[in-house]
Amino acid sequence: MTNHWNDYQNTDVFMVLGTNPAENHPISMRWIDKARETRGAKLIVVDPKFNRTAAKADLYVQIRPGTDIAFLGGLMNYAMTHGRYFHEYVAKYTNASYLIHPDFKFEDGLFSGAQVGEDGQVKYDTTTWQYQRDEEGNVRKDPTLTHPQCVFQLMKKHYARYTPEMVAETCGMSVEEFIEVAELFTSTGRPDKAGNIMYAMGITQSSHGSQNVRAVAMLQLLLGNIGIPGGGVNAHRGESNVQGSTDMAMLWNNLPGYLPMPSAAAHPTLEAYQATTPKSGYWSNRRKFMVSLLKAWWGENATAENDFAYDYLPKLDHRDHSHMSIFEAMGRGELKGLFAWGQNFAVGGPNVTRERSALANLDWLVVVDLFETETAAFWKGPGMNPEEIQTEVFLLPAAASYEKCGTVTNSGRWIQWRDKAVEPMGDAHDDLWIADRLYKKLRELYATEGGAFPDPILKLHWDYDDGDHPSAEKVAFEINGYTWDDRVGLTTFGNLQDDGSTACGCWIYSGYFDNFETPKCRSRVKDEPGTLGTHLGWAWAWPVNRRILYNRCSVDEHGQPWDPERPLFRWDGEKFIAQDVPDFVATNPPEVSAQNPFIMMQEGVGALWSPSGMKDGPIPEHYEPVESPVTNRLNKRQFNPVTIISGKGEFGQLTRAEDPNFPYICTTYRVTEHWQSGAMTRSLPWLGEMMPDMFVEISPSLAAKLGVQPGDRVEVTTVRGSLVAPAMVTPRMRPVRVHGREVEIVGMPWHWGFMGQFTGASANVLTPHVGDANTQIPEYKAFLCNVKKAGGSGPVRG
Amino acid sequence: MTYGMLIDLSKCMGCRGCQVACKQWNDLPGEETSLGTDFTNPQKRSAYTWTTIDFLTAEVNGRTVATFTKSGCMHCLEPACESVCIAGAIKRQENGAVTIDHDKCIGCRYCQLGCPFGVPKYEYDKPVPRMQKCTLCYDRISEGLEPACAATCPSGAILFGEREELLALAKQRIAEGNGRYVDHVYGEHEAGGTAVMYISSVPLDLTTLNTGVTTESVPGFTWKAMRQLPALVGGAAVLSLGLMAYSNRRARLEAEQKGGGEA
Amino acid sequence: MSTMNATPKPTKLLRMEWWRWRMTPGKGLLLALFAAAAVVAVIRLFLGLGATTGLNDSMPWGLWKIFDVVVVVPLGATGFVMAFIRYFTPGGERYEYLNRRAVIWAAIMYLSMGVRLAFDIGIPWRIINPIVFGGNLHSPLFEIAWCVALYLIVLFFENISRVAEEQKRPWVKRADHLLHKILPGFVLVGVLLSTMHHSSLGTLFMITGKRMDPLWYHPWLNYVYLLTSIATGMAMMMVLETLTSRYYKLKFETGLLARLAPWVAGILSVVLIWRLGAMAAEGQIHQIFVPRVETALWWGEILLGYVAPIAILFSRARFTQKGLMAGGLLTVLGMIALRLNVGFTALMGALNAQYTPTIPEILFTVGATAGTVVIYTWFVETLPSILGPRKQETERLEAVGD
Repeated sequence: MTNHWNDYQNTDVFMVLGTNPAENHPISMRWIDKARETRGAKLIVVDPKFNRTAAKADLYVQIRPGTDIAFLGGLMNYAMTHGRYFHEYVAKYTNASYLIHPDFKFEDGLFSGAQVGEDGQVKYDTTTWQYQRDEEGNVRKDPTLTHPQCVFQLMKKHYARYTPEMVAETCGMSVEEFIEVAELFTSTGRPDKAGNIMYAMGITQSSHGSQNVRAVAMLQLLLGNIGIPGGGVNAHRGESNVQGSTDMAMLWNNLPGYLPMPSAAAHPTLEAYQATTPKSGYWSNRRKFMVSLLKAWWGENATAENDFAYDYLPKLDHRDHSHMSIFEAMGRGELKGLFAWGQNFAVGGPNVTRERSALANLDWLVVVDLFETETAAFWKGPGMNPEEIQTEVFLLPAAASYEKCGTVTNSGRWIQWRDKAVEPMGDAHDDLWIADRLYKKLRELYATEGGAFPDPILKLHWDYDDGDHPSAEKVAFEINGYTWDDRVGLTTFGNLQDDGSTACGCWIYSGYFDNFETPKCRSRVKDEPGTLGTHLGWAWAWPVNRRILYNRCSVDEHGQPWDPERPLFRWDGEKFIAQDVPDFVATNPPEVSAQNPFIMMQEGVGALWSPSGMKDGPIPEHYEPVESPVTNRLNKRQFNPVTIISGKGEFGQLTRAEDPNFPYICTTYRVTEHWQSGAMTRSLPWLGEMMPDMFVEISPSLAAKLGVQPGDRVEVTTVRGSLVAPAMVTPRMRPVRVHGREVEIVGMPWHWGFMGQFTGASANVLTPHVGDANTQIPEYKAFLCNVKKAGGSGPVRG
Repeated sequence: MTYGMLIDLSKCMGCRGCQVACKQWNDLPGEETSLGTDFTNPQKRSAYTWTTIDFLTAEVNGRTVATFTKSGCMHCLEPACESVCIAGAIKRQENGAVTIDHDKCIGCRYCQLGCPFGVPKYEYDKPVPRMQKCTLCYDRISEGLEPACAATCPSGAILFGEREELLALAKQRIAEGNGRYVDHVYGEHEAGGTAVMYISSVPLDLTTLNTGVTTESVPGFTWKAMRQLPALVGGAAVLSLGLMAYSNRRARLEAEQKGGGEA
Repeated sequence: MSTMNATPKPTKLLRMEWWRWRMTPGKGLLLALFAAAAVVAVIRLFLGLGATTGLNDSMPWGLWKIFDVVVVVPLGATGFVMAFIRYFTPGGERYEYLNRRAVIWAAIMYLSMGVRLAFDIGIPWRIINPIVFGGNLHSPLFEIAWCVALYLIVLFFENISRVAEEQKRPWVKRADHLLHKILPGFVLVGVLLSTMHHSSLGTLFMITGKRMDPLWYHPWLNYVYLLTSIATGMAMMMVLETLTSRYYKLKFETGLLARLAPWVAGILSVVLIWRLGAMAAEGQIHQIFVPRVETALWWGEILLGYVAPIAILFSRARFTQKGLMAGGLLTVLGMIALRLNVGFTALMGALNAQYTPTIPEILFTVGATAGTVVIYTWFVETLPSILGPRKQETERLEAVGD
């Protein structure tokens, strides 16, 4: 999130796109409602299903799954052609005025620089996506935004194809509905209005998910909605602490604080790694973050002489190590062992029947969880023969959230300390205890038995003991960072050094836990009513307790707030009067900081155009989902040409467009009552009684066509598998009209599995093993299926 | 002072946190359920489920409408259940909560028949059963806390406070809502007035609220008969004694006649 | 007639004998049913209402409440109606023996009702708690409980003479003599208590207001119940006399009962007119032509329970035993129909009730009712003074049939 939950009270128009806040982030509705009550804010919901958020919306529009770029591109086109964008903001705070390489082209669904491989897979050479530069290396610009090769004009030309009619036909909505949304949301493209786009997995879980997010960000930049109170690109994170785990490098190609993971081939030395550091923007300080991280990890063993133990740091090989790739490798027998630490991929993974089978190729599997999950019990799942499975499974009972202390980072990046409320049950231990014991045992084994490369383990700086239990506070202090010599906590990453004098486990967290007595993540001081609700004294938000990112954009060139009613900052002639931590050098006059409103970006401005950040294009283009009921009418490429289709292996089963055997669109989602794979909630009677059974949601029209009564069992089939569950028939589901044809949508929650107290079919036996071109996040939200009456009625359990 | 709750249905998003909070605070077990035709579950309130969110999904003028209605005890100002309880086990407390004293209840279940909202539920499955219903978290509100459902409601749809203030707030929201709300505070007059009240942005017949309920005070239905008992008894006594006097006189006269005849 | 003027002294009666009761096949069948009811009662005690009955939250009052209480109590209305006739009306002495049967029958019905009610309420051993520890004056049920409890005491004194008369001890004689002097006072109290609780049994259902089906909704249901109870008191006597006289070879008191017939028919007429009038006043009279199951049940109740007995009991048929039996039985069935219709038909729709009585539940009701008949025969055979002078004096009581 660029903004934060409480900031929703400052919004004028909300657009909920690919998220379902009422069901999955209920607390957000408190702030949405506050804005509606106090400001008369409007809530737009764009979703394939009439969900509980839609029930509360001022305007609900149905959209076909996987067509978000068509929709967002249409909105951008509408804003640009109708002059409903925020001109001053776009001209000064974005790269709209930048001129692009004269050879840039977009033809037949491909951007210039496409290198089509033998398998049809496209890789881009991004030379023609780059900015034009003068002799001194400065970017050439046209502040009038009229040069045909400037970003604004290129965008305008690109999205001119996204007419309301084309959007309506592609997305399955009426032209009137699209224009109603466009009118309402682009009404925020002016200084005194704030529009907020909320998104979640409906946007990201797509073969063009990253470009979906780009499109959201670009629309918000066009409307001047980024960096202002009530605005923002707001990702509703799917788990209570997934923001925290992402910050701590949950992703395979990250180090903590979003430092890129070095590659063994390209970055054999710290210097080689350092060579990739951006020359401008705040990221130019990256070496300080990296050296401090190495110092935190290897302590006195990390010295300037040994490149701060850079050699000890694991590095990437040439392969992709995201979720799907790991399981494909596991399927080929390339993995020996696996830790499933609070993750239940035997329910949550795509094409889960294959993923469960792949687990059988492991020698050992360690599952750390509260209950015996489907992952721990994969060998007794449907279709498995335990006699043939040699995998040794270890189940370590873990403590639940109230049974351990530590921080949780919410979607708004607020880090809040929680104390332990009760002791864990039975043999359960908190994760830190398990990790600590595991490490110490490994260290002991390496010390006694040696190994190929024991040093990274033996020389780790591991100093968390507090009696017989590791101290979460000590870990937090290390993450926060401290001066190496005298162990003084750092209050900001501005104090980090690249000479080994500071250690810091995650640079963006610097300041949240700078002392043990009154760490800021424990602070609980609220603002007075009548303020903008930044609550700087409540918890601590990364970075540097900033609540709204890019907040220089909330004021004009001269430091005056775009909307005087919402003055996050105001320059009084000598200094800024602030309600937030500035994302700029506040001691400079506003005219200076106006040159650099997006301090983290290399360009210093918002990137409508991304010259090298994306693998699949500098600006988003609509492609169909990999499995789609229709052919792409916007260009000649059916689906994202950069998406990796591993069509050969057993994970590669896919359905072609317009396949008559699989005529329906299928999508998956969550409900309030269960959480993710249900590993925790399906064993809680109070939650289970509310949502006891897996179900398949279909429209009354499809039910009538199939002769299905509510509660009758239906069989849903994709090329990958099938499941049987009772039908939930309500007008929540409706068919969409796509290119003159009515297409039914079949929806289902993916919470169920064969373990726990409440059991049922796993939706992911249906989902495809393909993902986004940039992040490899699986395309869970749009694929093709068939539905038949299965005979009988009522729940199918087990 | 009468406490109560104002449930703003326009804010309820059906997350059912209230349903869980109620079970948690009151230590009620989960029930065996199965999928229904909509999400309401348990599909009926019971001795073990005092409040539910009732889902109603419909198509109105070609558009989908979904409503979430919190059900539960209305805490009537003049509770029918209290008035009919043989044992005096049901009592409307001074703070407005209508509670059941399990030590007094004999299990006649008249309250179930009497309640116009069908609120009290019985533990039919137990050999020594109890009559159960929402207590307005009498134990919590007596200690200055909100009821569990109100405390947990993330969207602020359930407001707890003094009934008069909540009623004023409800009317203010309706007045200032620019037509957002239906002009009706459900519970202001229903069943003679209730401590739990609702306002809604969709017509009430699209919710699961009982729109057909009387606006009269329900205890009056039986009281009008009960209050005539003294007159009835008096009348019967007069009739009996009068008849007896007449019969005796006639018997005496007959005896005298007979005696006179013989004389 | 003149011999009847004074309280007849039972001169040629059989004396009390503790075990003169004789088993017959008919009684055996009734006892078997009674035993089955007892088994159900034990199961209910250990497993609860849910395990034995069809009761649920949608239908809190089932067969055990609606039949075993709300119907059984007016079946025992013989007690106060006949006592009223015996003690307060001119020439009431002629009804002495009818009254004896009436009050023992009433006592059995009321006691039986109390026991049955104990099994219907959730916690049986608390049945007298409201009376002992205090209850709620506003509750019609509380009023009924008190009235029934007190009326049972009255019934005790109305019946105790049957035993006292058998005693030779002087103080018993004196006490019995005294009791006879003050008995009209007890009767008066009994009449007043009955007026109260018979009407209050109707009041019970008035709490449902207009949720009740318009075919049975009545603004003064309490008086409808009271009036039909009075009619039932007399009508039940006709039924009881028919059966008792046949079974024990007694003279059937056609003349005495025929005098009651116009009163029964008259009360039924008043009730019928009032019910129709009340429906008309509510603007619901058209409901009787709306084709529904409920309408059919209503017509059945009205035709068989009102129109037919009114016709029979006003007609000359009332001077025949058959006529009295038919009229009486139809009146009683009409009373039962009204109470079952109010308790079930008129409420199940409003409550959206799903209720089917279970077999054990029905068995309990049938068995308990069978039990009351057996107990009646035991009292009658043990205390022959209840029956009065017999048609043919014999050494032993003889049943002429089952």
